[in-house]
Amino acid sequence: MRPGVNPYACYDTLFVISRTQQVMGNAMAGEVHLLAYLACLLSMYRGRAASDWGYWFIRSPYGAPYSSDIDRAVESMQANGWIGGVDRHLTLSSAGGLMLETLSQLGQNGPRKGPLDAACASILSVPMGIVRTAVSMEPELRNAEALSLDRTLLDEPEIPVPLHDQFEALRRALGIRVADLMVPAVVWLSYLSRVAQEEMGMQEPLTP
Amino acid sequence: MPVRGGRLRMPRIRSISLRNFSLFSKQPNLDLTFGDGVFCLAGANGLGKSTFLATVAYAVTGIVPPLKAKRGFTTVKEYYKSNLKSAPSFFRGRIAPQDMKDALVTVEFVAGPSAYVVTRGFARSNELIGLEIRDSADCVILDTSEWEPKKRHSEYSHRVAADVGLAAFEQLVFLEHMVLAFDERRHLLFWDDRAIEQALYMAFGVDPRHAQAADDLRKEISKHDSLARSTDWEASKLRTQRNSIAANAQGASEEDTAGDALAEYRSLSEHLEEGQDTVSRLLDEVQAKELDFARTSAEYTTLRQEYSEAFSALAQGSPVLAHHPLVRTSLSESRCGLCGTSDAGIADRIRERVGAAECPLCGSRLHGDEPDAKAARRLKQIDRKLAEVQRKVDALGQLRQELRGDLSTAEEALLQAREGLATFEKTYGRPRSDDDSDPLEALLRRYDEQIRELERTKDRYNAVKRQKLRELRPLQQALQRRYSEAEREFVPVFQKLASLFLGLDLGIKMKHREPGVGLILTVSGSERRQLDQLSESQRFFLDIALRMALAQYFSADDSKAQLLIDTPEGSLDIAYESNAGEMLAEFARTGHSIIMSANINTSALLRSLAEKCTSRQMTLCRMTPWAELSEVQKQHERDFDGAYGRIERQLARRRR
Amino acid sequence: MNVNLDEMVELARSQAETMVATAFDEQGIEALKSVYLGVRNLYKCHSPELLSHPLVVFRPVAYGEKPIDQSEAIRITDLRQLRPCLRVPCCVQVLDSTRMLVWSPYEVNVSELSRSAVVYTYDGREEYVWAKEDFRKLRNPLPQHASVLAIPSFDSLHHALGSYRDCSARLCSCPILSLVWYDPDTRLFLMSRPKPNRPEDIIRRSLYWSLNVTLREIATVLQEQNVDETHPVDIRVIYKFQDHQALIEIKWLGNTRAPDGRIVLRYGAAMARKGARQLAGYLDRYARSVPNTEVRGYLTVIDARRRGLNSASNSISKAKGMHYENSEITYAPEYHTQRDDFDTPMRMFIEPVCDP
Repeated sequence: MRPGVNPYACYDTLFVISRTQQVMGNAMAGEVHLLAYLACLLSMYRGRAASDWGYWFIRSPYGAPYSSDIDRAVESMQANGWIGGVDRHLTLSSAGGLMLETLSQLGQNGPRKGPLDAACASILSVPMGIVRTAVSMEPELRNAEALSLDRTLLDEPEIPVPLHDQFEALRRALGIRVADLMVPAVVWLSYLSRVAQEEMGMQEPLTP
Repeated sequence: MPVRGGRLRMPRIRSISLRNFSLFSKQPNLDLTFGDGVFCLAGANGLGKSTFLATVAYAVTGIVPPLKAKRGFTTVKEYYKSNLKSAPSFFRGRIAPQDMKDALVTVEFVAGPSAYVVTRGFARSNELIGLEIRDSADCVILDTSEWEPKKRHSEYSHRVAADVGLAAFEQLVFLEHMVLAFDERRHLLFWDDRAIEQALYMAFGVDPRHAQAADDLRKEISKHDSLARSTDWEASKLRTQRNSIAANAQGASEEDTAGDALAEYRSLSEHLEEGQDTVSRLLDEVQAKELDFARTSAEYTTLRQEYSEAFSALAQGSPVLAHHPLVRTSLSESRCGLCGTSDAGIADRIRERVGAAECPLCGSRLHGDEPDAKAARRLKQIDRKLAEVQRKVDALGQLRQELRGDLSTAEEALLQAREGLATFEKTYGRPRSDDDSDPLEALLRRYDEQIRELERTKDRYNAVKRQKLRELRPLQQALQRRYSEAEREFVPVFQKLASLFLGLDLGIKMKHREPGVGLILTVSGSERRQLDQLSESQRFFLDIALRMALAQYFSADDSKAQLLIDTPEGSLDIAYESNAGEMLAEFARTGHSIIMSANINTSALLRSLAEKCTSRQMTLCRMTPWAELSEVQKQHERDFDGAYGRIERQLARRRR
Repeated sequence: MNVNLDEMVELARSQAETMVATAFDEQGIEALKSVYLGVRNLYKCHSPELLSHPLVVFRPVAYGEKPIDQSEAIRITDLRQLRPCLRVPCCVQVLDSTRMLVWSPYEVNVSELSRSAVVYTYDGREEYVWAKEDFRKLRNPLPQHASVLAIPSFDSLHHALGSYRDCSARLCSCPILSLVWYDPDTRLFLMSRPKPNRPEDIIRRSLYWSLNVTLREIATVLQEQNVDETHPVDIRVIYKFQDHQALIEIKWLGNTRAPDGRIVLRYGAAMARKGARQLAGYLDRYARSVPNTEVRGYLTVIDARRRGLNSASNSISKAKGMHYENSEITYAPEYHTQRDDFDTPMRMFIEPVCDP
């Protein structure tokens, strides 16, 4: 493995591939970035700073969200044999699975498990395309995309005001404090997806 | 792209008339009209182009935009107040004394639903010689012919602010001078945090009263901060003197065993001293804990680095053998990657060994798919240490917080002790011992009283400052919210203009800077606060692009903005001059207008502008006939004519 | 973007996850995740389209809880073994993602079961989650697929279009697409309306939404994108982290009718050929404007042709209605054989509702 690979990005990558693989058979590289970003957002919902996540995401002209640390982690772990798969479909090898177990025991990764688990669990009941559309409506990413500006996301010391407003509304809407972040994740994704549909001119009801 | 969000209807000047304006010696009486698009006053150096633009601004606002002041912009109100009397001295050097009394400027402009005709002299800023206001049906709605000049100005300032959509005339002056007028000798908007913050409030804020409220709060914060600091300095000076005196004195004053009042007084004084000691002690503790906290945080950061290195070691020690490049090549080519032997059975043999967790090279037993145990242990070791240090950091952080809380309480108690003593002294006077023959003691007491009083005052100023900061915060959050909503419309407008000029992928982003907000320029995604690679002239034009973007954003659709631009004289190379012309033309194409001055020598800019504008969109006004040319300029009059002619022909070509 | 708190409250209230968390806290959410995963895996082996009886899948919340006597349950370790059980009403307990207990035939009182378990029910394309005698309906963003837990995903656009043809277009199962008809009960004529509800607008929105949900590894799907100043292509797909895009041109064939009954337009195979020419042109123009990007074109032809329609037609025989079912369109030139960047045109026949 190349020196300087971010250990948090490695853990997140292994985790996301492992869970996505259970649901969809494999994970695609873009989905790893997407779900890791969603996990970072969920950790901010819990009150942690984006800088605590351990690496950054950007909006790039080739796709967003994107993290160069995740990219390097995928590349390194493919070379190392922890991640297998063909074309852009990623799967965890048995060595990768064992490594994930080892890393899951580390305290450093403790605070990440909840948000990662919730992000990955959301695809159980929300189609991946909807997750992607919803996350693209997150205020920081949305503005960066609309302006076609390459910028680092969530890089201010304080949570951006529009995101803070959304999280406050989410807490009030839920009314209960649930330890499992899957609940706020799914509600938030549903809300953002509705906003996206309105903007696209897709009026409800899409369901009978 | 249509720009929404605009609600301001800034003055749009239709004509200007000068009378007895002696600076323009050959044409002291001038009448000029301004249509849509670009009005360009072109002339040689020193003819008074900047003065002309300053006069236009003065005609509307009553104030000449000042050149770079030593102090810098503080608040909108402060700006207005401190420049209110600037005009007379500015014009005194430009209008002959005998003409001063009769010199006039009259300007006609539209602001909101009303059309204004405003006439001023140059001797007094806050007086109007004439004021006429008409409605959209061209009916006079205000006849001020019988009014006093000061009353006219007062009425004008209220009405025009309301018509524009602002809360106060000072805001209009701010926008006209700091956003809608550009002069390279004045502050750049982009790099002036205070000014840009006010501009953002007015451009993006829901209610102009918010901008005013934020402005007032900033002023109060600044004022109380300054007062607290100067009071503190006074107290510090006195303390030094007092300590010096006390140190030189011999012996301490004896215990005064006088009556109850004195005993109570002493008790209060002791209480105060204890309070001071407590605060002093807590300050020391806080400082010490800060140091511990910083040290432990550094330890944590170092351990994080070690964690990364240990992780890399774990990963390197746990390769899946089948993925080793030699093994992969050997398997895929059925040829040993080491000795080169080619054999159909080689791949099977290698696979068999790898499957049996045996190194195909040396036959050693391997750990299979499990991670390298030693490396895993080391990583776990560091992980445990990290958890421990993290706990320490958290604990120190908590302790630091508590100490700060204690310090705050102690300071509060100290303030109360001071006030208690002061109340006692006020009620009973300062108790004197029976033997009040110790002048030193008396002197020291007087020092102490004064120091206590100053410290009480300082505490009060700081309390007010903190309160104002708390009040300012929700306004700033509201501004950030509004900016976030508006960003997708506003930034592309700036990007288009700036990239026309600079050809770079530029963007801007709002940044929070205590206690306010500002804008950061980004170039290809990375932030460039200083932009040291850009020349001064390039920075000027970027600043113009920002003003244009703001003006486009905050102007109502039915009331396009009008910019006054004194084109920078500095050197741009020809490519950039041409781009600058394109940028200005683009602004004019969107329906906004520009009144600008340009040196006839910056012909690449003017030619580019003329090329992009039709003659309906651009008027070139020669300035050389207005004033006496210098001897050198007279010698090159032909060149000036040539330069003018080229641009006029360019405009005529476009018309065809 | 101002947050609509009322909408968020409504979504929170109506979401199954919130209900389960309120009823059973974290343990309930863990059980719900198991149920979802179990059902998804079950549907990979047994399409919910083919379920003719209600299905109940549950997981007890507390460890060791046995709400139904397990002595009569069949232990399943391979989900394919469920096939005979699903032909009758049955009840399934999820043990883990591939192991289950099945009671079949079995009619269960779902409400009672939900007192100690998280329960999923499926009955005729309606899905619910139950917890502590309360229930929430699962929302399906693509109701043409029988279950939200069985919506397919594709990394190949060609396959995604194929799925759209089979699941959404053929029987007009997509609720967006169903708005295109003058006569929704018979599907003979498309409705002639002005923009933005012309037939091509509705078809585009339907396909766009389907691709947005089912395509993997894309950055975004965009509607009506300008190839150059004057020519918008119907849909553009931008792939993530690859310099690769797809342009989709949609054409419809058939007849439109105005609200007053007039037949307005009749489009035949020539329209499809026109679409092919247009798409070839777009690809050329696009290649010039973004020379380093790999671009591929997809022509999608929605075929609603019926034989022998006139203004009096309000029903159709099977012979005439299905006349064009297998009538493939010939293209000249055959761009898809001559160019690397032109995918095989896909015709999607929409069946009418014929006389019995």
